[in-house]
Amino acid sequence: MRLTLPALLLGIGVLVSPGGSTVWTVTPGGPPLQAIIEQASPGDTLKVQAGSYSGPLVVTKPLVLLGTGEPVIQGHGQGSVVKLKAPGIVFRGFRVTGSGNYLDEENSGIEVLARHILVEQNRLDDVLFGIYLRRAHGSIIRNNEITGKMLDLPRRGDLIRVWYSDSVLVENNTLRLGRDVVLWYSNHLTVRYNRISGGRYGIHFMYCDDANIYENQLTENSVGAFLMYSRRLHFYRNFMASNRGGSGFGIGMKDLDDARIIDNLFIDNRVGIFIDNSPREIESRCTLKGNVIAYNDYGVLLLPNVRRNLFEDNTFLENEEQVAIDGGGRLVNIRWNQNFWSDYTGLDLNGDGFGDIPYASQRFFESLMDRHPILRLLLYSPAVQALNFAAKAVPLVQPDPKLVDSLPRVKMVIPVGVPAPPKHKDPTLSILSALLLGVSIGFTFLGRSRKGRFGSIPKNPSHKEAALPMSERPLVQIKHLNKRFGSLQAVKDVSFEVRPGESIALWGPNGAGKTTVLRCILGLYPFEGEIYIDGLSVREHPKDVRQKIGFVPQELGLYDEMTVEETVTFFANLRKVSQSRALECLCAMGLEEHREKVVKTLSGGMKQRLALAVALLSDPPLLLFDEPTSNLDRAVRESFFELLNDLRAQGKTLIFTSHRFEEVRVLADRVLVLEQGHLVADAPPLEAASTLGWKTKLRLYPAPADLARAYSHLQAQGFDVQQNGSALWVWVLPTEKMAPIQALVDAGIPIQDFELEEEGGRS
Amino acid sequence: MRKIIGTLLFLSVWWVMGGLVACSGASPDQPPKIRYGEDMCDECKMLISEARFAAAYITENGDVRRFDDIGGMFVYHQKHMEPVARYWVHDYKTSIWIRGDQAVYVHSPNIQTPMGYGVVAFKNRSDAESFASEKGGKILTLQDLLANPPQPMMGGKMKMPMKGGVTP
Repeated sequence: MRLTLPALLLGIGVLVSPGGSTVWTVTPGGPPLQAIIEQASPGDTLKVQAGSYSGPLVVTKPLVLLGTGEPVIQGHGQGSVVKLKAPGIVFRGFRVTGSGNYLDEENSGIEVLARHILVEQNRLDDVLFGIYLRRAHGSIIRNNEITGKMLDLPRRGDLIRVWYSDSVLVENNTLRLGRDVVLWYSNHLTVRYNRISGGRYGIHFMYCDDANIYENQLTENSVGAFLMYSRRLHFYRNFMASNRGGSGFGIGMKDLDDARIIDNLFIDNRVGIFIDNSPREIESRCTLKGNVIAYNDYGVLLLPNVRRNLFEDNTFLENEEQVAIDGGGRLVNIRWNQNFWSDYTGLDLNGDGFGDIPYASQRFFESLMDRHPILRLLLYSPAVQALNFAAKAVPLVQPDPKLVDSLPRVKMVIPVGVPAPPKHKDPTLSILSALLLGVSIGFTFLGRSRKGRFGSIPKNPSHKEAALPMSERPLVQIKHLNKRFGSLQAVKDVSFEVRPGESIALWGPNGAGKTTVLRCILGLYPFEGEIYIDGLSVREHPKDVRQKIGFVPQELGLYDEMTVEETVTFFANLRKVSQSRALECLCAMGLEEHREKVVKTLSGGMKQRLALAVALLSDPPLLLFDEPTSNLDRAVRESFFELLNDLRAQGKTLIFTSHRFEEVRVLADRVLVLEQGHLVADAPPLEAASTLGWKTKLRLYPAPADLARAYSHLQAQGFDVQQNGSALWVWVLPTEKMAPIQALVDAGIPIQDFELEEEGGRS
Repeated sequence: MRKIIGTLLFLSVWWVMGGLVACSGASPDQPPKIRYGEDMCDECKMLISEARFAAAYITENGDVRRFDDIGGMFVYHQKHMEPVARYWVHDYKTSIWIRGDQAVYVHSPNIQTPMGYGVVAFKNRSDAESFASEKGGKILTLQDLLANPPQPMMGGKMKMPMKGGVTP
């Protein structure tokens, strides 16, 4: 161990790496943590051991702060506890507690005040606001557990607040006892896998365009998600249940344009879906598709001014009122198509899965309730039942239908991939979920019995097509893919699925079949088996599929003599994409300043960015990369990783081939391991590394006099070690690179230098 | 016979409903009641949670409209153009009700309000001027805001300019 001067002054242990960055080990009872932060240099790592440390902490340089054993940062009830003010800070593994109580000062557990900050695996409690991001573009808030203060709801703060911060990822956080999760004035957000309960607005979006919100559980809040004044929000596979406070909406949609509400589950809310003035702009529309809206007081509640919405393939199940118009009136210019209605009384005589007569929502008392909500008090009275009966018998008092679905389904559809209901001491949700499943089976049986009773009639092929899996399907489905080149079988019975927004690495040595799989997805090779992209068969709809894919090959295929601008314009013309879109893609890749440069003068990194700009021209949801960073040096690789992570945060789905573990670890949600054409593993990166025994090779340089002792010690400790000249080569799991260094330091054997030679090599 | 039964049932339920629906109008001279955390804003349908930002007006018919953001009240009024007997807002400093026509308003993009309109009200002009100075805001009157309802603010600019017109 080598001590630096500041460390000597502070009396703490440090380890200096060859790159010049320092690892500081911080223990309670030593110098104040803030003092060590002041002494550390940008790029240093602070390993903070378990114990209690006094806040507030203010970090103004890019440091990595790692808590070991969940050290506690105590705010003592004053102000904000932690402020992160420099780009690139990592803050992981702490408990942060005891912020102040002043709403006006927005006292927070953690304030994130610069770009590209990672806050993960922390536990925050007794905080007014939880994690508060201001102008923190590209930051990641992940795997945190945040519990607010035990205050009345109006006096609580927001457990996550994202404010003027674009391209932020909010992922897999658990939040309780807050006011709202507020996301305002921020574009290209991704909010996924979070569990939010017991607050006012589970999620509150305002002025946030182009966000992806998926697979969140929003339960027992006043409102699950209130989405307002935003464009192109994609809200899918979320679970909204028992949101029954004042407004009581599963989701509220106000002044949204081009929103897509897909494959969500709305159970036991006061109102499943509330819509006001959405869409707002003349040229936009909102799409609500594949949702299950069950056991709510109102399934959908719309204001009479709502126009241009498409309701398709939804399941309306046993809502007290399936669709209501706030204030009464008629709905105009809203399309209802192929929805399942549990109160539909028609039959499916030809067995095509659709009712033979349209569904019409036309109840006399409902039309009165829409105008006078207080009449809901009488909803189940015998008089009202009689009134509805009388209205049917006396057509004069029959209201105009609120809506007509000309092709109602007779079987309900439950989307896949929605998070399971949370376990809760109140069994209502579990009962309702079970009921949903039971009713689903029941209606399926009913559909069959209806068909059986009247005999089976051949299905209408067009209806059969329409009844195929809908929007809940994965973006990529590969079933039993085989590819043979002459006598060589390059791909053998490979099947996998990729969900929207996922990033998948195809891993394997040369010849494993990675690139062949990519080329089959692109339709460049004929193949056996099935490949669907967004539900379209690659074989049957090659042109449509190609529109959905952007591809960046290993050999970039750019024209050396063209300028950057000529290149994107050329490809934009080929793809019938506007010039403005082409320039937008150039700017997004940071190439606007290089538009006059000739391609052959560009660096490898810039060429890669240009190829990516071309791939993004048609704004495809799926991007394929063949060894994306194989020709880039380390610094350029890292900036390219950032770019790809930004694309992920914008909701793009990535599939890339790789043989670098570093690339896989940074970019991939899952690794698909191919060996001689077979898919042999499908796991998250670290799990795959452990399972397959991938090793990273470290070169350690002890002092020459210590070489033999270091070798013996590592061998005795069970490390896979080999002596080579003045260095020791040690192979370790990628997650355990520090272990041999620590072992030597603990044994009093200093390391003068080390190098990271390769990743994912030896197993 | 079926028609007669139906008509009788219809009339009987209508009578009960009439009793439920009928309600007395509010007096414009009394500030309306707001159940914080329960009542919804008439403009945005969100819960009204904080008194200091809340507002209301009482129509000449005695109907009450409630809002979670003072700015939302003026936007709502511009959309519906109801004859209004009295506007009510809260003093930002003390959270007590004050008459809308006697209040002094401060508008600034630097004031965070529930719906981002950036408008708060004061009973005393000196408090308003001091707050406007602190927040870089403008002093406005009720008439100013009725004539030009505020827009949600984003860094001092109106957010979300409309494309192709609004919904008819």
